[in-house]
Order: sequence, then structure tokens, then C-alpha cells
Amino acid sequence: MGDALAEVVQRSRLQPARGRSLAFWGVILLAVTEGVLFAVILFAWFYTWARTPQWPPEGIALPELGFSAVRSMVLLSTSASVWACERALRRGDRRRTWAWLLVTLGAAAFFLGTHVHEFVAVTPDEFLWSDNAYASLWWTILNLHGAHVAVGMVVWLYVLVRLGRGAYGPDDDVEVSTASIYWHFVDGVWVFVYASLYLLPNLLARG
Amino acid sequence: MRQRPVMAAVGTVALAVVLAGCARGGLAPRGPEAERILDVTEILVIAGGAVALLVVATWVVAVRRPGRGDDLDAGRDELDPDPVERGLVLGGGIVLPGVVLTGLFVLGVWTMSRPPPTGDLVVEVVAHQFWWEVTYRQVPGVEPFATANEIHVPTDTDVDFRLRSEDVIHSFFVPQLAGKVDMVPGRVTSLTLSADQPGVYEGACAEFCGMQHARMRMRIVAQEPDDFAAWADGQTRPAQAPEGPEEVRGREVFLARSCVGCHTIRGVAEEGDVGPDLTHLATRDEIAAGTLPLDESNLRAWIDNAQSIKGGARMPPQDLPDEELDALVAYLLGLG
Amino acid sequence: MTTTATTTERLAAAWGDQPGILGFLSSVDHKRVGRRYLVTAAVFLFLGGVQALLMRTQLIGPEAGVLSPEQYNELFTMHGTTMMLLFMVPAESAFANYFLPLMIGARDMAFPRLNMFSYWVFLFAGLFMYAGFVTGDVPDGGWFAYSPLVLDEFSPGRDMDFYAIGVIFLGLSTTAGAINFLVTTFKLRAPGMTVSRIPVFVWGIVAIAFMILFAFPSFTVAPLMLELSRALDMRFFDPSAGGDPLLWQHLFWFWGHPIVYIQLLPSTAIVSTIIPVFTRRRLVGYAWVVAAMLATAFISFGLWVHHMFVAGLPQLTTSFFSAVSLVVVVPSGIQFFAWLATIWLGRPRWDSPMLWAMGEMLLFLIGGITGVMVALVPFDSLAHDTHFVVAHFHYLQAGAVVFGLLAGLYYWFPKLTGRRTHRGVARLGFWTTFVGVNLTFMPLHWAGLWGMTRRIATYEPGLGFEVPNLLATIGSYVFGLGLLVVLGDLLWSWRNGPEAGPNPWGAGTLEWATSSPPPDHDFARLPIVRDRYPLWAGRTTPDDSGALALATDDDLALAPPDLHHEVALTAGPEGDPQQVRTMPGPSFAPLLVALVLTLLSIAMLLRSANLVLTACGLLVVSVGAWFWPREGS
Repeated sequence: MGDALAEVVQRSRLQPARGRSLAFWGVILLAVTEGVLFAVILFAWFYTWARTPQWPPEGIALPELGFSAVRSMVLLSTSASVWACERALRRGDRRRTWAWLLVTLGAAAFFLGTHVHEFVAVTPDEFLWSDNAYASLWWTILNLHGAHVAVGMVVWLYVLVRLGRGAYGPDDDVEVSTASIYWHFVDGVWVFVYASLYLLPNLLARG
Repeated sequence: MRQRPVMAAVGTVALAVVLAGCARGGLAPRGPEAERILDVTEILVIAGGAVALLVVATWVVAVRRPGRGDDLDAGRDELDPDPVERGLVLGGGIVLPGVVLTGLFVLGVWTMSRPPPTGDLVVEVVAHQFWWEVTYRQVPGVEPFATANEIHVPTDTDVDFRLRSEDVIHSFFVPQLAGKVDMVPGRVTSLTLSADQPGVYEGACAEFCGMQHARMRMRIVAQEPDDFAAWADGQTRPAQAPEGPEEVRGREVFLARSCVGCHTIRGVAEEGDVGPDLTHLATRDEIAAGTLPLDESNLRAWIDNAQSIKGGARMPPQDLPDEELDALVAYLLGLG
Repeated sequence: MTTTATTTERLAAAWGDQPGILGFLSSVDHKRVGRRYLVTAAVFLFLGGVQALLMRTQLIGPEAGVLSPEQYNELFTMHGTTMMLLFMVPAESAFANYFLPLMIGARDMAFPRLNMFSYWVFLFAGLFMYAGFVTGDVPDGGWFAYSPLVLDEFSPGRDMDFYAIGVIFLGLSTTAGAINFLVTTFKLRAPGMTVSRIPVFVWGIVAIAFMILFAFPSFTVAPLMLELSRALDMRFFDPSAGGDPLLWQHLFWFWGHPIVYIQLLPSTAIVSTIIPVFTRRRLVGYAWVVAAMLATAFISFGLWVHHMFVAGLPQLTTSFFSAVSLVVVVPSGIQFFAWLATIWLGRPRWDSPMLWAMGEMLLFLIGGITGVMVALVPFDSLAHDTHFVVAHFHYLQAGAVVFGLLAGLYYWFPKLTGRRTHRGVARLGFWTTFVGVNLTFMPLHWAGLWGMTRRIATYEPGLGFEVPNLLATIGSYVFGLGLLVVLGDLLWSWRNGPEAGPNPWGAGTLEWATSSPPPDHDFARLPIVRDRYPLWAGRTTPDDSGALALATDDDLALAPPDLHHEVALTAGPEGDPQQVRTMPGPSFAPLLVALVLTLLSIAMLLRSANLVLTACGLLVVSVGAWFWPREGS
């Protein structure tokens, strides 16, 4: 066995890297623990819901499903644009890499901007986080997710700057693929957040 | 074996502690609830002790037997485990706990699943930082009344406690009569207990509730049903009218000063609902939730500056002139 | 042998730190991280111990008047927080950081900078929580911080903010550490280290690392909700606004029960490591022991409600959690009997590590049996929140965990320092500590059953609590004295002990193949593993020259002739070598980011939105600096 192993290790020095990077495993585990984080706070949401006779409580309108659905579609579509960006990078197509990266950043900025606008400018007048447990959970969950989108955008901006300075290529995509795993995670979480905060209360209220 | 004398010493001390007066608190039940718990406790101690002895005996044998000696290669082949491995690891690690634990679980569920008796008397207890508000609404033949910190119950009667909290989480615990139940803001929890014989049973708040958690004690006073009825009849009456001029003066002080803002004396001033009901204060043995015995000097000191006795309690220092303080104490001590 | 000398020189150049303070601050060496964790955890143990002794002094008799109720509440809050979060978990991180890479034949952790970052955040979060002693805002709502007592209404001031913010950042540190341990074990095992050859201690760390990933998010969300309630008046726990105080308890104990096993498992894994060495036998039932640790990790998530048996929950709920609380005993039983079987087959040597390991067994047994008792709802309704529970979990934590850690410390001390401890003094320290811990906690079982509730700053005379409390207080002094003897022994031996050599115990795992202490690069040659106890393979007698095992011909020099800062990545259950990777070198970025996070905690404490935003901006910049590639690399 020893000689065979020796050979493999020697060979691995001469060949391109095989297998997943350390960063891949790191970000996967990060996504696991962050996923639990969102599961926990959604548990708090459903726990409080189960103890409240009416949800949303008296005097609070059901969440709207029009514009919020548009925002969701925009955010979820970035998973596709990120995938396209990575593919372009692996094929050495820098122009498309740029284009898809900018599309992603633009869509994320739209999502985050509309969230911040709703939080800061519109809602506090009639729906403040300190009104009741519903409002506290609503804003905490949405802002927590918003913070993750913001972190993701910072990561993409970093990638953008590095790309502008000539970094990355078909054999040098670890940072990009790691960032995209995180981004898919942030998108995936939104599905659960949107279903729990927007869809289910509407469904159950009508049914 | 050089640890033997030490073990023996530890064992002797432990045994001495056991025998020195085991029969206290939860180990001296005075009601059916606490007796059920003690039954479970005894079974657990016996089963746990037996398992511990078995394990320690195995350990002693394992250490002292000659052994098969050093062999750094033995057991390399996982597919051919040693019989010792199978016997000890599976027998001791899985079969033994499996049997013991299943038995204990059945015992636990069986003990809990007996339907709680429905009480003949309902007592509402509201916990506050750091005292107990006690209200009787359904004593036959008498009007509802409130008292504090000392809960009278008739013996051999199932008493339903409805437990609430007005501020933080507390826990209702009288070890000689029953297990504890938390008192959680926004919820009503309940506990049914019964006392077999007359007596005073010490209790305490069991959940950390802030600065004076240690001084949030209470007592359950179990009385023969006739004595209880007499006590309840006395409690339901309005406050006793002051007898002498000093007591009359005391009542004036009570009404003129800030006392009425927090305390109720039925028939005199009934708005205060922050502190304990004082209508029949003098029938109680202690003040400040078991902090001090009720006597003239303690009551005086308490009214003068409760913060120096039980800092963090809601009762502010009163800073009354001596003459007013004397009169107030005399009046309150007359509230039998 | 000239090539060997050159090899060593080159490796030293590639892996060594700069000299001086700059080297100290920028180092990312896993051994330095481990040593720092160890020393810092020991300091916190000392602080937590002093707090405990003050409390025991207050309880020496009824109405002792040594401490005010306020001081007592502050001390038990900080004692619990310190021991749980600043001593036990970091002490285990210390061993894991130092020895996990060595045991799997790696030169470093998978993410060396993240590793040092974990330490800095731990250190600063600990200092942050202790800063309350300076500003006069010591947390006093209990380490369990039950709402609503810890909300602004009942705990005004900044006391509980120090707690809530501090634990959020501690959780970050612990989580980063867990990810690091897992990826290191997945990817950096020496070639040939199949899953069935992973040392049992490493399995223990893997088990708790998974637990941390699943448990700690709950303890990030809960303190975050607490802080939002305090700072921004959110209403999660307010029943008058649709919230529920018990929500806090669910979230807290979903973390708070697994954390107990996170503390216990490395300690039992250390015992599983030590017993084979001192009985000269392979661990019996290795696969069972590993499976038992992983099962414990899994089952421990189904236990949290057993801390809430008296909170008025439905009986079906409590019965379920009671059953799970009993089931979790089975994996502990398996480990216990695997130890007994190993001792049965071998012949024990009573060196100090073995003494502590045997002490761990006995204390674990007692704490485990009382644990079964409180798992039964009827008994728990008596014992809950009394000193019985205090006695029960101190047998496990001040007993089993501390004894396991000290067993590990005595076992690995020669590797850490290159020296051996003094046999007689070590024995004195062990026996004093052992008597002390039993004398402290055994009587408290009775105090609890007699009705002595927990967290009380004093008690009245005449309730029968005097004798057990007097014994416990005397015991606590003996316990403290024992630990001082241990400390004295270790400090003295660190400088003056006899030389240990690479493998003084004749142990079988890879950390003993290095010199004592190991060089900066750990392994000059990449070990190839063909046995669970590589240094024992093919031997039937003890061999103290274990280091030779790596020097055989078919072992592989990692990277000659051009030595780099490299490790080999392996993959899969078989540990196949896959690629060679250059590791990041020393960096100031981890320290910088940790400092920015501390600024962020202070900003949150001050409830200043501007300062929080500034800190977030700095955070982005400093993390960017961390990842930005440096010239020439």
C-alpha cells in the first residue's frame, strides 16, 4: 500500500487539484449551521403563531402577495444568474462572467433596496416591531435574511473587484464557486422565509 | 489497594449524613402527592445503588484480576471480537441499562398518569417579587378573601392551587406536600395537594426570581377542618375596628400616608393592590414572605426601612415620625 | 543525514513564526492556538473557582452575611457562564486544537487563520463579559437568563447586555472552531487513515463539532431576541403582546442540553484514549464507543424539555422527553463498559493520567445515576431547582468533565512541554481533589431532597440545611486546594520536570511520533497510516522509541526538494491522498477582525446605531483585508 500511496501523492503535485476544496466543505458546514439558525427562528415564529388565536393578530393586515412575489422571483432568479456566471468563468468567457455577475448584483440590490425601503420608510408608521410579538418576529426574521443578502452582496462586490484586477480563470474558481454556494443558500432560505411569513398565513386565513 | 481507607471514610461520612436526619423536606412526606414522589425516590435510590455497586464491583474485579497482560496487537481483527467484549460491552452497556431504564420509565409514567384528584377547595396564588398573594374564592359559606404568604388548608382535603405570576417566573414548592410547579406570566398552572395531618409546612419559591429570591418563602398551615372553617370565617370579616386612641391614630396614619396606595385593609381602604392584604395581618406568624417573625419591633423596623432588611422588595422606606410609626404598628398589630 | 538537516531547516523556515510580539500576534500555528486556549481557559477556571468559593463561604451557615443577595446573584451568574462557556468548551478546544492535527498526521488545521480568529474572539468576548465587573454592571439574571426576569423592566442597567452580547460572539467563535475541526478531520487525515483508524479522541471532537453546528444557532437566536427585547423593546417573551416567556426556555435548552454533552464527550473520549495506553491493550469495542458518541450527539437534541418538567407542560410531552432522557444513558453505558472490558483484559498502570481517568469514571457513574433519577418526572418535581440538581450536574461537570480534562492534561503534558510531572505531588493533587469534589457535592444531594432550593443567597436556620452546607463548604476548600496542588505541580514541572522524550507512555497514536514538544511543522514526513494505533503496529511489547515508526522507507517526504507551507488533502472514508495544498501563513487579519467585532459588541452595548453601522463598515473592510491575496503568494 505504501508505494501506491507514495505514487499518488507524488503525482498529485504535478496534476491539477482533484476533489473539492477546503473552502467548499467550510461553506457547506457554514450553510448547515446557518440553516439551523433560520430553522430556529422560524420555530419561534410558528411557536408564537400556535399560541395566538388569530395570525396576524387583530388589526394587522395579511401580508400582500403581489409585489412580494415579484421580489421573490427576482431574488430566486439570481441563483440562475450565479450559476451562469460560474459556467462562463469555467469556460474562460470573461465577458459573460462580468455580465452575469452584474445581473446578480443588480437583482440583489433591487431585493435588498425594496426591503430596506419597506422597513425604514413605509411600515413603522402602522407596524412597528415593538407593537407585538408578531411584529417583532416579522421584522427580526426579514432583517436577518436581509443581512444575509447584504453579506452576500459584499462577497460578490469583492469578487467583482478581484475580477476587475484580472483574478480568476477556468482553473482558479474556488472563491467564485464558494461564494455561489453561499448565495444559493441565501436564496434557498428565502423560500422558507417567504412561505412561512407570507404564503402560509394567507393560505390558512382563506382556507 | 490504597484507596480503600479513603473510600471507607467517604462511605462512613455519607452514611452518617444519611442517618443524621434523613426524614426532612421531601423525605418526610405529609401528604399523598409527596408520598408518591418518595415511593419513586426510594425505588430510584435502590435501583441506582444496585447498578452502581454492580459497576464498581466489576471495576474492582477488572483491576485486581491477573489479566492477560500486555498485548498491543490483540483485538486488531475487528471481525473476531473477544468474548469479553461481547459480554461486557453489550451486556453491561445495552442489556443492563435497557432493562433497568425501561422499568424505571414505566414506573415514572405510571406514577404520573394517575388522574389528579379534583379539589374540594380552590386557592388562587399569585406570585410577586418577592411574596405570595393568596385568594380564597370558594370556601363554602364565606365571602372571598385575600391573605398573603401563609396558606391555610384543611387536612385530608384535596386543595386545588391555581398558580399565576404577575411579574417574573416563580415556582411553588412545598417539599413535604408535593412536587413543584412553575408560575409563568401569561399562564395559569395548577397543583393539587392534600395534607394528612395538621402542621406548618415550609415552602419556598424554587425558580430564581431576582434579588430576594432566597427570601421568598411561604408556609402551608394545615388545620383540622373545623379549625380551618373558623380561621376562614375570621378572615372573611372586615378589619377589626381600632380599640384605643393610639390604634385610632394608627388608622389615620395608614390612611394619610402612602400605605393605602399599595395595601388593602378591607372596610378601611380597598384600592391598594401592590402589596399584601393587611386586613388580618396580626393572624399571620411572619412578615415579608418568611423573612421576619411578626412582632412589634420587626414590624416597626420593616415599615421604617424595609430596604435595609430585604433590599429590592417593593416596599419603600417610609421615614415616618416616631409617634406616627408607633401608632401605625399598634394599629396593624390589632388587626386580628 | 545532511538532507535531513536541510529538510528540517527548510521546514522550520516555512512553518515558523516571526520572532517577538509581531510573531505572537500574527501566528496561526494550531499548537499556539491550543496553548492559548489552554492558558486562557485555566485563568477563567480560576476566576470561576474563586466565585464558587465565595458562594460556598456565604452558604457555610445560615444567614452568614458574607455577600449581599445582589453580589451572590452576580457570582452565581458569572460562575455558571464562566464555567460553561469560558472554561469547559475552550479547554476542550485547547486539546482539540493542539492534538487533533497531530493525531491525524496533519501539519495544521484546515483553516489556520479562522482557527486563530476563534481564539481571539473567545478571548475578547470573555473579557467583554467580565468588563461588567469594571463598569459595575455584572450580569445577575442567571447564566440561563430566564425571561422576563432579564428584560429591561426587571433588570435595568446594562448587566444582562454584557451577557447577551457576549454569548452571541462566543457562539461565533465556537461555531468557527467546530467547522474547522470537521473540515480538518474530513480532509487532512494522513493517507491511509480510514474511518476505522481515526483515533477515538478525534471522533469525540467530530461528534461535538456536529453538535455545535446544530445547537449553537439556537443560542445565537435566543440571546439576539433577548438583546432586541432589551434594546429595541421587542415583545417575543411578553405574554401581554402575544409572546411567551417559555419560548426563551425552549430555545435556551435546545442549546443548553446538548452543551452538557458537548462538554462531556471530549472528556469521555480522553478516558477512552488513556485507558488503552495504561492497560497496554487496544480499546475494546472501538466501533461501539464511536457509535455511542455519535448516538449521544444525536439523542442529546431530544432532551431539552427535561429542564422544563415543572413548567406546566402537557404530560405526553414530558413523558416523551423523559423516555429520551433515559435512552441517552445507553450510549454512556456502552462507553463505560468498553472501558471496563479494556481494563479487564489488560493490566492497569497507575500513572497520574490513569488515576484521573479512573476518577472520571467513578464521578461519571454517580452523576449518571442521579441523572437517571431526575429524568423521571415525579422525582424531578421534587429535585428540580434544588441543590440535588446542583449536586447531580456538578458531579458531571466539576467532576467527570474536570477529571477527564485533567487526565488529558497529565497525559499530554509531556508532549506539550517536553517534561514529566512529579509523581508524588501529582498523586497528592489527585487525592485531594477527589476527596474535595465528593465532600463538596455529595452532601448537597441531601440538602436538595430536604428542600433547599437553588440560587438562594442564604437560608434560614432550623431547616436542616446547616450540616450538608458546612460539609460542602469545607469540601469546596479541599477541592480548591487540590486544584492548586495540581497547578503547582504542572507549573513547577513545566520548568523543572525530567525530560520526557517523544513517547514517555509508549502510546500508540501519531502525536507521540513527534518530538516533545513538536516542531513548528509537526511532521517532517507525511505519515502513512496502516493501523488504528500506528505506533503499536506489529509490536507486542511497549516500545518507547515510537518516533521511529515514521522513518521507514516507504513513508513519504511531503514536499522535497522545494519545501513549502503545504499539507496533503485526502478524501473519502479511506483517506486517499488527493491534492497538495499551500496553507495560509501568519496574518494579523484574524486579530484585526476580532477587534472590530469587539468594537461591534461595545456599539451594541451602547445601543448606538451610528457606532454599530461604523463597526459593520469596518468589519467589511477588515474581512476584505483578510481574504485579499498578498503579493507573491
